[in-house]
Amino acid sequence: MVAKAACCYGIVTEGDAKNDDKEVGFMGGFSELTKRFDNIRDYMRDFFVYGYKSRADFTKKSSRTYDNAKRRVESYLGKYMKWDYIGKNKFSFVSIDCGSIPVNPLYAAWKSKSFTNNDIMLHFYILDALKDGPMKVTSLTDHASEKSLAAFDAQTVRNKLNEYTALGLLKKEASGKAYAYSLDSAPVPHLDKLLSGVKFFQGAAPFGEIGSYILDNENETNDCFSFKHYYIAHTLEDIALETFLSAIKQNKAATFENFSERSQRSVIIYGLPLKILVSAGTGRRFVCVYLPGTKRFNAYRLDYIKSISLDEEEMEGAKAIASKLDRNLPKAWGVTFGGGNKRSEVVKIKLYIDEHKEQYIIERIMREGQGGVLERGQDGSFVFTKEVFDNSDMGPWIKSFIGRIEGLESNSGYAAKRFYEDMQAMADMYGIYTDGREDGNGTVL
Amino acid sequence: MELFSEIYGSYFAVVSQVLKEASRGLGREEIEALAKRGAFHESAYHLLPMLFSSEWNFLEEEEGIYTSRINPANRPMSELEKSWLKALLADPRIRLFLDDGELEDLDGYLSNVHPLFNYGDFHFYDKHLDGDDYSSQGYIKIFRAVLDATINRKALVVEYESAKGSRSKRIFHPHSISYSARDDKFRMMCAVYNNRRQKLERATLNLSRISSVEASPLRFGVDIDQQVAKLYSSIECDQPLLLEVSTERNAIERLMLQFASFRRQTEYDKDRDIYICQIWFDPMDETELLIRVLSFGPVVKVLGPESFLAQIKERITRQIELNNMHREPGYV
Repeated sequence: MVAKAACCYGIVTEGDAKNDDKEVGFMGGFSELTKRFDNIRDYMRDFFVYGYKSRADFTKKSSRTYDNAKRRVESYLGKYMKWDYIGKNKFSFVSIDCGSIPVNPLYAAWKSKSFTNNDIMLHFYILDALKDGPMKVTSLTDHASEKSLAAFDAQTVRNKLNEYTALGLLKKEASGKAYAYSLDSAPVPHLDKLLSGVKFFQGAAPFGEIGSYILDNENETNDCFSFKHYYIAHTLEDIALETFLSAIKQNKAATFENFSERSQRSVIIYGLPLKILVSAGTGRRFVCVYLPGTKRFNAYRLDYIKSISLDEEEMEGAKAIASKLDRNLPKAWGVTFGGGNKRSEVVKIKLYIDEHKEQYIIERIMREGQGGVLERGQDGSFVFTKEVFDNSDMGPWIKSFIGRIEGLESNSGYAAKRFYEDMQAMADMYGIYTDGREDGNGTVL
Repeated sequence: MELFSEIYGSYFAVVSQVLKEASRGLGREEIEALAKRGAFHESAYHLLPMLFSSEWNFLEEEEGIYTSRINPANRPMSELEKSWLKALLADPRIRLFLDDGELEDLDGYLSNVHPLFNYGDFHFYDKHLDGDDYSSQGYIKIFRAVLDATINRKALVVEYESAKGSRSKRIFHPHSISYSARDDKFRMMCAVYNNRRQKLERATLNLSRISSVEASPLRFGVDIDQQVAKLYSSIECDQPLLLEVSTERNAIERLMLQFASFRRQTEYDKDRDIYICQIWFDPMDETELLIRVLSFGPVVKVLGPESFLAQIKERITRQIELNNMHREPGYV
C-alpha cells in the first residue's frame, strides 16, 4: 500500500480539516461548496426574494465574503441568476418563473456541503465493500486502503462507520468481540409508485429538499408535476422549521434571535413554540409562540430567525396552552391574536353581487372567507360577517373586492376608516375624481 | 438528524452516477456531461480534476476511456429520508399514489421510524376551503389515469363540467399536472385542438371537475408532444406588469414575497424613494393578479400595461361610485 503524497490541482486545506485530510474543491482560495448552510442561505434569499440590492447594501460581511457567496449562488443557480445596472451600481438577482420549474432550484444550497477526501473516498469504498455482505472494521479498512492505494487507519474508518450507522445507512451488530457492519438492504416496498409520490411531495410537502435527495439517489427527477403559488424560498428556513417542530413535539420553550429585515434590528425572544402558521397565498411562514412574560401568543417570521436553542426540560402546562391556541385560531384571520386589552371584533362587509351572473364571486367568498358567514340581505346585496382579533389582517382581502363594496363595519370602526381612506388615496393616485370620473391625465387631485 | 450533509450533495450524486455508468467505460466528455447535468455551473473546475486524478482512485483510464475501479451499492435510504416518508403517510394526498395495502406495506417498512413532522403542527390559515377530495375513489381513479397519461404522453378523452356548468367531451393532450397549495387543487395542464381556429391551444382542467377519462382511441404522432411542449415553453406575457411600490407599510417586502413565484425584476429609485417592479405572468392569471395588486391598496400603483391599468381604474371608479351612493360610509 502506498500512502498518497501531496494533493494536486491546487487543493488546499481549510482551517479545521482533520489531520492531513483535505477539504475538497478549493481552487485559488475559492470553494464552490460550503461548510455551513447559513453561509449561503441569507445571500440566496436576498438575491431571490429582494433582488434589488447592490453590493453596497450587503454591509454585514466583508466584500470578499460577498463575492464568494455571489459566485457560489451563480454557480448553483446558473441561468436563473441575472444582473443589471442602476447608474454605476451593479445588482444581482435571481429570477424564476416558479410555475414552470419541476424542482426547486434553491435545493442546490442543500446539496453544497463541503467534505474532505476521506469523506468521499470512505463513502464509496464502504458502499463497495458492503455490497457483498457484513464486514468488520479491520476488513473494511483493508478494503478501502487496497482499493484506494491510500493508507486509512482503523479509527478513521470506525468513525465513518459509526457516523453512517447514526445516519441510518448502516446496521451495526456484535460479531464475536467486534462489530460487523452491513448495509440496510431491506427493499423499499412499492418503490416505483412511491417515487411518483415523491416527485409530487418534493414540491408540495414541508422539507421538500429531502424528497429531492431521494430522487437524486434513485437517479430520478420530477417529470410530471408543476406547482402554482409555489414559494420556493421556504426551503431556506428549514433548519429553523425543524428545530421549532422539535420544540413543539417535546413541549419545550425556545430562546431565539429574531432579526427583522424591516427594522434591521435583532431581538432575543423566549417562549413556547406551538404551531407553524403558513400563508399559502402570501408566501410567509411563521412560528406561533406563547410568551410567558406577557401571557400572549405572538407570531415570528421563520425567515427572520437566526439562531435557536431549546430548554432542557419541557414547559409546565404546555399542553393546556396549546389547547388555548387551538381555541383562538379560528378568530385569527392572519397571525395576530387577542390578549391584553385586545378583544375580538365583528367585521361586516356588504357586497354588490349579481347572484345570477356572478356565482363565482359567492364561491370565492365561501372558499376564502375562513369560515365567515355570507348572507343575502333584504335589498339583494350580500353581507359577509366574520369575528376576528385584528381587522387590519383582513384589510388586503377586503380590498381585493374593490368595485363591489357597498358598506363596511367593525366594532372599532377602524376597518371602515382605513378602507375609505385607502380608497381616497387610490383615487388620488390614479387621478380619478371623487364623483367617479377620471381626470384624464392621472394628476393628483 | 442532519438536513445539511455531504451524503446528499451534488458531488456525491454525480460521482455515484459516474461510477455506475463507467462500469461499461466512459469518455471524458460523457463524464463532463454527467457533472454538468447533476452538479453546479463551476463543478467541472472543482470536482472533475479530483475524479480524473489518482487522488480518489475511483476510475482507471486507458486510451481516453475511464472505467470504474469499484462497483459501490446504491446509498441506502437514510433515517432522515425515512422519517420524511413516514410523515407523508399521514397526508391524504399519498392515497393518490398508493393503495391501502401498499400503504400498509410501507407503514410496516417504516414501523421503527418517527415521522419528521406532524401535519397537525401546521396551520395553513388562508388555504382555500374547497380543496379537492382526496378520499374520493372516483377522484383517485381520475388522478391516476391523468398521471399515467402525463407520464406516458397519451391522449385522453375527458368528460368535463366547466365552472359555468357547461359539459363537454373532448380529446386532450396532457403536458403536466399542476398543484396549487393555496387552492389545494390539482389541474391538468394540457392542449386541445380548437376546430374553429384550427390549431392546438393550451387548456387547464380542474381534476375535480372531470367526470370521466378514458384513453383516446386515436393515435397521435410524436410531433403532437413537441407541439404541446412548445405551447408550454413560453407562457409569459410579452409586456410585464409594471408597478411602482411605495416604501410605506413594508409594501416592498410584502410584494416581493407574495410575487416571489413570478419571474420579476425590481429596481430602487433613490431620488424618488420608490421601487419599480416588473412582473412577468401567464395571461391566464391576469384576473388573479389584478385582485392581488388591488389588495395592496395605495402603496402599489400600476403603471402598465395599459389594459391592466384600465381594469384597475375601472374597479376603483366603480368603488368610488358605490361610496358616493351610500350616504354613510361604513354602514352595513
